[in-house]
Order: sequence, then C-alpha cells, then structure tokens
Amino acid sequence: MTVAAVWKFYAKEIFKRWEFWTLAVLLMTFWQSTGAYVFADYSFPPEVRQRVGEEMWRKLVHSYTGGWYGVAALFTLAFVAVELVHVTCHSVISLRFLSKYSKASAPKFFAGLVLASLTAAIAATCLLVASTVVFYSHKFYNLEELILPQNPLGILAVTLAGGLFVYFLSMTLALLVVLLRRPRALTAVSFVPAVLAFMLGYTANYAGGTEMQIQPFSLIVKLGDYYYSGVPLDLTRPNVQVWMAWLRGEPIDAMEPLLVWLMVACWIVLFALLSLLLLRKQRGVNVEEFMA
Amino acid sequence: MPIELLGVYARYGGRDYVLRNVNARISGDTVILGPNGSGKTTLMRAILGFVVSREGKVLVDGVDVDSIRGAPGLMATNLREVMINSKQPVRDVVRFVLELVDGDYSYFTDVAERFLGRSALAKNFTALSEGQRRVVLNAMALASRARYILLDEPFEGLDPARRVAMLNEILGADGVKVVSTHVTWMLKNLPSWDLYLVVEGAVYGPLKVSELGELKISGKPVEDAALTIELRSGSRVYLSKTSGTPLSSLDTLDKLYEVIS
Repeated sequence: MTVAAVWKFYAKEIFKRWEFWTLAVLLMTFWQSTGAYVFADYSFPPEVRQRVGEEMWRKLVHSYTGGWYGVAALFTLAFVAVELVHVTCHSVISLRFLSKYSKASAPKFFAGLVLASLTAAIAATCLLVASTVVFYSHKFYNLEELILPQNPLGILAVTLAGGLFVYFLSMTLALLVVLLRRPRALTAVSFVPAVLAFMLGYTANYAGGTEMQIQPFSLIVKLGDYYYSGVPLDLTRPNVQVWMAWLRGEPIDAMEPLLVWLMVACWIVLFALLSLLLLRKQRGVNVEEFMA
Repeated sequence: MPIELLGVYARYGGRDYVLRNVNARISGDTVILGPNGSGKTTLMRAILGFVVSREGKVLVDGVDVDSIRGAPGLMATNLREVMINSKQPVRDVVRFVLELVDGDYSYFTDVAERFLGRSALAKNFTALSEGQRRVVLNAMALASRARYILLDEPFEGLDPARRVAMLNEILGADGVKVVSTHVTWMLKNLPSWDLYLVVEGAVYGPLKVSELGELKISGKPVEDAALTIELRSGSRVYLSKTSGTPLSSLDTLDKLYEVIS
C-alpha cells in the first residue's frame, strides 16, 4: 500500500510538471513531425519510390521511421529524466522525516518513485509511438497503411529498461547535488541527461566505433530502432552506416539482442549501485538551502 | 518514556556549533523559549534526528533517534521538511503525508478550513502566505496524532485572533507537545508546562512556566539561583527568586531578552 501511495503521488507529480508536457511530449511530437514532413523530403525525393521498387521502399520507410523513433525515444526518456532529477532531489528533503516517522521506508519510497518514473516513461513513449505511427504513415502512405512497430513488446521492454536507466541516472545526479550541497545547481544538473542524450545518443547515429556504440544512450537508440523496424544490432559502427548496409543487403556484424540487453542491464546496475552509494553517503540537505 | 538529550552538540557543515552540550529531558508538554538565532529550531531538528552534524545522544522513549526507522505515530513536526515540495495542491500533498504517517486527514481539513477557508487548500504550498503556510504545517503536525508533537514557532505570521485559536488547538491536541518560540504572550496559558531556555546554543532548565514570572534577573552572582546563564561574552546572568530585577510579567520577558540577546 505504501509503495502504491508513493507511486500514485509521484506519477501525478511528474504529470503535473510543465517540463514533462512541453519537453517529453510536445517537443518530441514536433521532433517527429519534422522527421516526417521536413527531412523525409530530403532523404526520399519523389523519384526514389519508382527507382527502388515497392518492396525496398517499404523497407526504406520502415527503417527511416524506426531510426527517427529510436532517437526520439531516447530524447523522450532524457526529458522525463529532467523531471526525475527535480523530484528526486526535492524528495530527499522529506525523506529524512518520512523514513523515520512514516510507513515509507527508503526502499519503499524509492520503489514507488521507480514505478512513477516507469509510468511516466511508458505514457510518454505511448504518445511518441502514436505520433510516430500517425505522422510517418500519413507522410508515406497517406494513412492507408500504418507503419507500426514490428515488435511492440520489444518497444515496451526498451521503454522499461530505458526508464530504469534514466531513473538511476537522475537519482545519481540528484544525489550529487545533495552530496555536494549545491541546490542552486539543480536546474542545470537536471538537464545533464538531455545534454548527454544529444551528445552521445544522437552523435552515435553518425560517428564512432564500438566504444561509442556501447554507451547506454546509443544502446537505447539501437534497441528502439531494432524493435521498431528490425534493423540489425551492429555495435561496431554508427547507425546510419548500419542502415545503409542493411538496405543494400551488405554483410552486417549483427550482435545477439540478448548480449545488447546484458550491456543495458550492466549500465542500469552500475548507475543503481552508484545512486545507492550516494544515497548512503548523503546526509540530507537543509530545506533552507533549497529555498534560498 | 521521555525524550532525552545527552551532551548534544550540533552544527551545519563545518560552521560553529549551534548547540553546545545540551542536556535535557522532555517527558511532558514543554516550551522551549529563546531569542531569535539562539538554536531553538536546531534543537527541534536534533530531537527529530534531522541534524546532519551532531554529537552526543538523543533518545526517544529510550531508543537512539538515529536508529529510528518506520515509526509512524512517534513524532510529528511543523518543520518545513515535512512538506514535500510539489506542484500539487496543498490538500493532496497533506493527504499523502498523513496517509504515510497514519494521520487524521479529516481533522486536518477541519482545522485548515476553519483557519484559512477551503480555497487555500486548493493552492500550491508555495503560493500561500507565510501565515497560511504556518497554519497548514501546524495542522498537519497536529493531525499526525503522534506521541510527540514538535512545533517550531507555531504562531509565527499569524494574526492575534488566529494565534489564540491556534494555541487552543495545540492545547486540545493529544500527545506530548513541545513548542519552541521566542514569543511570550501565551506563557500565561501554559502554567503547568515545563520550560527550557535556549541562549546562544546552550539549554537551561527545566523550570515550570509558572515559576518564570516569579524570578528575578541579576548580573551579579546569586547563591540560590534557579538558573545561571553563561553568555559567550564571558559574563553570567542569574535567575533567582530573591535578587535582581523582577521579570514580573509573563506577557513580556523583555528584560530577559535584553540581557541574553
């Protein structure tokens, strides 16, 4: 019951924040609309469809849609993380009281917070999938055919794993603010996940070898793309190169999805341990410091 | 079973100690009286186990406060820490907190609506005035139905009529009430309460509130002093029944504050 109460309260809290709706939902809907209605025209001039034939065209637009989805899914999770850094940091103030004099022990409290984060991640991702399907199906098939994810359960699994990852990343950042006693840095720090997503997730689409591709932001993009359009998981080169090779039917050094999942799990565990360590180290922050 | 403080020192970060060698035993309704900046709020935080840098022991019903976990109904407070920073209306945040501490939400709404009207509870906590926030925090602490209710400056920001009404709410609440304040107007209503004086981070007492008005204050040594207050300047102030200037009235302890501030 306690976990459920915390879950309900903080899910509501995230949905009440303007950043969730403007960044994680509206901005990403706009982002997807540019992929469908602006950049698609540059990537696929009208003569391409006739030139490549219907089967290749389907493969092309599905992988194009999946590519945009993978990146947008990462950004959506990163913007959810902006809320989570704020919510986690502020919750630390009350945690000292609640963990002592309420039914909400720290583990129950954070379990509720994780569930709230996953709820927000799933809600934002559902809206993202919907906007992706509508925009790209409209652009390429005039809504006569829908470009749906090839593996919806895979999309759900990536969302949950990505949600867990950004939650522990956010918690780590929030607890760093508390530990360093720098509450004024909170807003700047809360945007670190978004900055990293752009720097590492987006860049990995176009550049970098294995060392660039195995970082968590790239893995989330690749898994999102994989489950949406079926582009193989190649961790040796940038996504764009993989797409091109896949479309041309060139050999791809594809990796087993299970191994990619193991890597994602390792990143989640790493940040979970880091946040747990910081949680043990932090001695709280005075409410006056936050209000100053 | 009481709250006991044994040789407690407390400070924030690497700064000077705010509390110095505090020894106290709180077993009944208690007033903690002292001027601004004397360490009253830090004392409340130390009792609750909130202070980051603390030495000495704080025992609540014989249990070290640092080891207390998951004890709803043991302690409640009106300190700002208990109000979760949220975008949600006050009523939703308070309902959530009271659910976690097994409190009485209907009592909270009754008090809050009598003092503030219904519309205030629909607002965000940060949108409330200082006085309104104080009412919300006081009502939430009282609604927690805890064994110990620690109220820090519960009358701050309230108008005179609401101050008296709030005092009546506090007097009517169950549990051991610990009120820290710098104001003295309400002392005459609490003659049987214990009283500790907090001066420059040191705690003196206990006295009965009713005794305070009978005391006299002197800068010269007095043999039968009820309290001897040592100031950081090195001088001492003596409170006794026999020598010095009478504190005379519990309504204004200006003479005391003039000397110890």
